[in-house]
Amino acid sequence: MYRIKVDHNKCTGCRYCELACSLNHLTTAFNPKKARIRVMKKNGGFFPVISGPCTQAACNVKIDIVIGENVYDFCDLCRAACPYKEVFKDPNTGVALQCDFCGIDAPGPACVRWCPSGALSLVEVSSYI
Amino acid sequence: MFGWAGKILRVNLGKERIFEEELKPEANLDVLGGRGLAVKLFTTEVKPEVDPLSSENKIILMTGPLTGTGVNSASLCAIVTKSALTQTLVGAEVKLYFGAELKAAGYDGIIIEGKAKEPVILEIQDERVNILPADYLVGQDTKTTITLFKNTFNDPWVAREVRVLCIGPAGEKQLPVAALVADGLLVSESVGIGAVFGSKNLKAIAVRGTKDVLVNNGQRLIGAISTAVKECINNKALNTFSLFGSYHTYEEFLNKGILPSFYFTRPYVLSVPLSQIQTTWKRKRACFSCPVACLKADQNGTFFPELEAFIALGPLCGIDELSLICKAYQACLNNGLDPVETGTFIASLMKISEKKLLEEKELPIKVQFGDKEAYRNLISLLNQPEGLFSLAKDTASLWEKVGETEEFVGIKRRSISLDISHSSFLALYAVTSNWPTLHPHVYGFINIHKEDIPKKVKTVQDISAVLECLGVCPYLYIGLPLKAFLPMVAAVTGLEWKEENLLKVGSHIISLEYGFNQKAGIGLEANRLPKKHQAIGFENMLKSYYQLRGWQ
Ligand code: SF4
Ligand code: SF4
Ligand code: SF4
Repeated sequence: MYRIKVDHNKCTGCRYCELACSLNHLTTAFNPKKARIRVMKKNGGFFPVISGPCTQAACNVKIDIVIGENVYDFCDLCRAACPYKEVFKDPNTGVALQCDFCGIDAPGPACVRWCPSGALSLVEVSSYI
Repeated sequence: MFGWAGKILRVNLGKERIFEEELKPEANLDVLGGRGLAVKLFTTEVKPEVDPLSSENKIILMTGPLTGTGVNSASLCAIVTKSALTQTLVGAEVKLYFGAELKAAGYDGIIIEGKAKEPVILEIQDERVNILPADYLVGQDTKTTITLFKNTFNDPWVAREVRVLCIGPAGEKQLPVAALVADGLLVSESVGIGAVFGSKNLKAIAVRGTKDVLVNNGQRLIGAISTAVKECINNKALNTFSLFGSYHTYEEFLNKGILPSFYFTRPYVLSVPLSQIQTTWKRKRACFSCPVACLKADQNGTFFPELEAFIALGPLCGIDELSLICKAYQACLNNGLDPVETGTFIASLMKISEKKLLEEKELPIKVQFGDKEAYRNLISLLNQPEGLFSLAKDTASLWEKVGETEEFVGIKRRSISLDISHSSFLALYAVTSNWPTLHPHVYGFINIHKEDIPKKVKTVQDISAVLECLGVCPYLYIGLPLKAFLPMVAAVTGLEWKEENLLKVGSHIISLEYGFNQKAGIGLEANRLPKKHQAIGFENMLKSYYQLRGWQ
């Protein structure tokens, strides 16, 4: 199966991924605020966050991740990915937006194809980790 | 027509009234949008002789038809007003995300007029536009201003997405050397505008937009953008620019003596090699929809000075400690000061002190070329910018004060930090610019043949103007020709333009700007090189340039 790999350190904050995702779903318009991938800024770095599947379960892992010299509260990023958060709702209709992975053949996954920095890449993994 | 939102906001700060006006793109195809449209509106609405700091002066912000549409590097929002420093028209460009956000809010631009009674902030969230009191922001530095303003939102996601353009204490004090800062990045060429914001009691403009940006032909646009982005990624010149940003010609400049030190008394002898500078660049940052990512930041996302700011704050003052230069740059940004004017002012003070042109007690602080301790004290003095600039309001005035005007290195009262006497191309470019400027995307042309210089200067100026009208960062011209943008212009707007027609737009705008300056009393006679920086054969070059433009 395929998954999208995110390398935070390469992300420049150009928001092409948001643009691409929105264009792919709206077909004739851009609207980063309707994208299913959103680039968050934290401690001077950028974190592209893809809205993942939503679950009823409360968060059951609490981990810190270390990137470079900094320690990040992973919950902050994880919570951001919950499609019930406003950021992942359509600003007009309020409908929750969720990544549908828009296919591995062109034009999908649009975000990966448009990312100019190599922060997003498509990787094949043998099973769900 | 697509690309343009078709609406402009007119904000009268004095009357506290906000109007939404219709914009007819068809009626403005002679100037397209962005810088061109802002100049056209400004020159029809404002008298050339206006005092920049009076309530009759206006500030016009304008995005281009491509801004925010995903076209590569189309992130610009132009700001046009009459500058408090040069007394000419000035056009700055806000980068990063501000322009795209304004377009997404449903507006092409904003016209600001009048003067608010109390300090205010203009807040735009789609059709909700408010003039809010900003007394809690008075005297705050640009960083704190942004944080405090963002704290007023309950929704953290809205706070994240709101883009803030603001002035610091220097702008509030209406210092001519004050500049603008947007989301932590200096607004390029904004010196002289900070004071105009201050004179209107306008502390900041904040924007957030959630609307769709419609395009004429989505499928065609996707194809055109993919091609252009691939070209950017594979382009050698743009790759170098992406790696080194405005330092892409550092070594060449060094060899040619274009980098000066000790306020132009000697050429800069390398003490900070590029490789050392590079080690402090921890992050590459890009503006909205830009694959080039030429901006350099440290681990915390703090921006590194561009070349001209670096030279002004460092070598010109005899300082070569990188961390000190960065500190000074940060102090400039926090206080909303233009780093080139600040650096040259400090360097001039050092030279004045060395030549004993002023008594020690007349100087605001002890200064000496290369004295790190004194420089550290100067940095802390930047936090009270009115203190430092009480002696003289800018570098040109400082040299007037000591009666040595020929020592001032600048054009039309605007300081420059490169030694343009070693490059006729840079000299002609800076002298003939309607607001004196040098841009990183023209650095690469210094080796051009002498006979070709006037024509090349005109072409580069015209192309930069066209790109800025469209909303595209002119730095792209380093690697992409203007015609690379034609398919994207067509896909967004539905208009099939020819390159030569676009070039005519550029040329027309430059003449509009020049016409305004001339009526304001700053005509061709002001197009002079600094006294001590004359270049051989320059007068003839200037003549051929005027001929090409049809100026008398
Ligand atoms: S994979 Fe497709 S749907 Fe998912 S975030 Fe990327 S572009 Fe959007
Ligand atoms: S497109 Fe890539 S580099 Fe740009 S913001 Fe998205 S993840 Fe970051
Ligand atoms: S080239 Fe640099 S300044 Fe221009 S849009 Fe790209 S990142 Fe911004």
